[in-house]
Amino acid sequence: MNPKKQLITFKKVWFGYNHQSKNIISDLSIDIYDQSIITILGLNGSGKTTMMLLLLGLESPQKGEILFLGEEENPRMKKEMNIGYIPQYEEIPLGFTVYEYVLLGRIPFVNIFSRPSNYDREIALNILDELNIYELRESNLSKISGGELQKVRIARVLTQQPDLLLLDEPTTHLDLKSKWSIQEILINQKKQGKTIVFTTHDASEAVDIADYVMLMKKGKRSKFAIKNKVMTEENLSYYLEVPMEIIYANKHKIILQRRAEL
Amino acid sequence: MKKKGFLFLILVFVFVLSLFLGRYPKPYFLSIKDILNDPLAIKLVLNLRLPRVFAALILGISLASAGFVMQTAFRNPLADPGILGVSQGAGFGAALSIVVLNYSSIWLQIYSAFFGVFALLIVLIVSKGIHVGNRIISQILAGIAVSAFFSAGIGFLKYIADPLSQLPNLIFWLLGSLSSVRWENLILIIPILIIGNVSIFALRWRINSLSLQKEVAFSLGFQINKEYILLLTLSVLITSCVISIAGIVSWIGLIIPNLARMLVGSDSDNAIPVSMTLGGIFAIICDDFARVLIAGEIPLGILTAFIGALMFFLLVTKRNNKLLK
Repeated sequence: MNPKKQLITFKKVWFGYNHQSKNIISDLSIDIYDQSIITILGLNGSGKTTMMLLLLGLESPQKGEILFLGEEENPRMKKEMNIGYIPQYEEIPLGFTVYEYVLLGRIPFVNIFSRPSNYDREIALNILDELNIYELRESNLSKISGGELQKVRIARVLTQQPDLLLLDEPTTHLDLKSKWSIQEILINQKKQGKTIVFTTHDASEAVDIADYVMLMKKGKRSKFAIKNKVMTEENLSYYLEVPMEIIYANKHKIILQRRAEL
Repeated sequence: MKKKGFLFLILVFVFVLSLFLGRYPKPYFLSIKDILNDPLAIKLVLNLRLPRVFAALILGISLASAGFVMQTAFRNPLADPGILGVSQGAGFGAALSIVVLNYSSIWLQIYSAFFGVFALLIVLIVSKGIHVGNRIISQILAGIAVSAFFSAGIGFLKYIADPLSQLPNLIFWLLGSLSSVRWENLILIIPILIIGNVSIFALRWRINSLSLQKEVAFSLGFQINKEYILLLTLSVLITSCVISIAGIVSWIGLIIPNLARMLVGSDSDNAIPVSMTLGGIFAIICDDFARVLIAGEIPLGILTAFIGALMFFLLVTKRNNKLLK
């Protein structure tokens, strides 16, 4: 494998919204390397989405600095860094077909007074095919299931051909099968050289597919490290505020909640 | 593609047919022979009817495209081109010129267009100071306040207007009409209307970015501050120019974009051209009724509101409609 390069570096970053007294991010220093999956794990309200917006470059730190490809500059101003983002909740525009919506991922590549070229259209159709939703291309977004919609949103972000994908809770509210296929997509994308950061509140999901894990807790310092180093019973119980137990079966790590009476 | 071509043909047909509809030398339809045999009729067609039908065409196109942009920008199918106080602003400008400057058609036009754009400027400044909700909410609230402010101004000017000479002019203007349009009025605004509409047409795929959530649009490199303001300004500019020659013609900018979305979906790449074509057809037909139906002139705004409201009712009561879902 090629030597890994740093995509984003946090140097002693502090962040909090002005009206809140507590800091959401305190003194955070991390490196995000390419070709990896990073999971941000934490309870609801622990600051996962804020972390996403910092990575996206939409929010700026109050103290410290965030370097994109080693330079302190808003990544949107630089053509060479393309970051795709899927928010947890999104107002989906009504009256679009799947194909029309996925094609919007080409916005960064199309001149503002122009329209998508045949090449752009080809990319969108190939990605629909790759994610097995080609047959849905003429369907209206309001007519497809939640799992399908999630795939369509991922197709949109892949059509953008980003170096870094930020997915906010991509598998929350999905059934097992949809969850599985979304995880398969993420693993595949990593193999193709992409970097993926996704948030979840499900510890097993992090164990399954992540390379690095960041643990977040409201008002507390975050922990960021290689998965095996950070996913300990002690850390998980502290950050998820539920007693957790790790067992091994067939070389698989399984995370359980520990109940006293069991 | 077929739908677009078909609608365009209808537009051309309606435009040409309208040149043969009139009340001189006889009411309703005139054959080519009727017109060619009468030198006065030829003059009428070239100097009065042609500019008027042309004005109706560009009014329909402009209001429909501006309405579509506003509905997309505010993610609300019930928004119309006047949502940011533009209509009332332009109305106030016209009223001011009728009452204070004693009505000259060119100055009325300039005042009206100026105050329309001025209203947008106030809305953008005022909305910065509103800290309720997001960008959409604060701009709509500012639009409501600015509209009310200019309505109060219009009310006051009506009150002090001379009831015999000024008030009828003012009322007729506020109802919306193309009866006084001549080539010289059109020439002033045509360049702006063409630049505005051609730009919106060229931006038709990009306009989709407005329907995406802020963070997503940002990640796609959409420069909200520049592109959003550009689109709003283009829409307001063409709306103000149209109001400056026609008065306040309501409902076209509300109903036509919805009709377009029902026909071809919300992707602005298709919906903008369809909206513009339908707007042209609708405005020309309404104006034909306004000038031909009775010996006098029916204000265009009354007809567009009447027919528009009927169509609106049909749309929202139709089963499986896509409008409000």
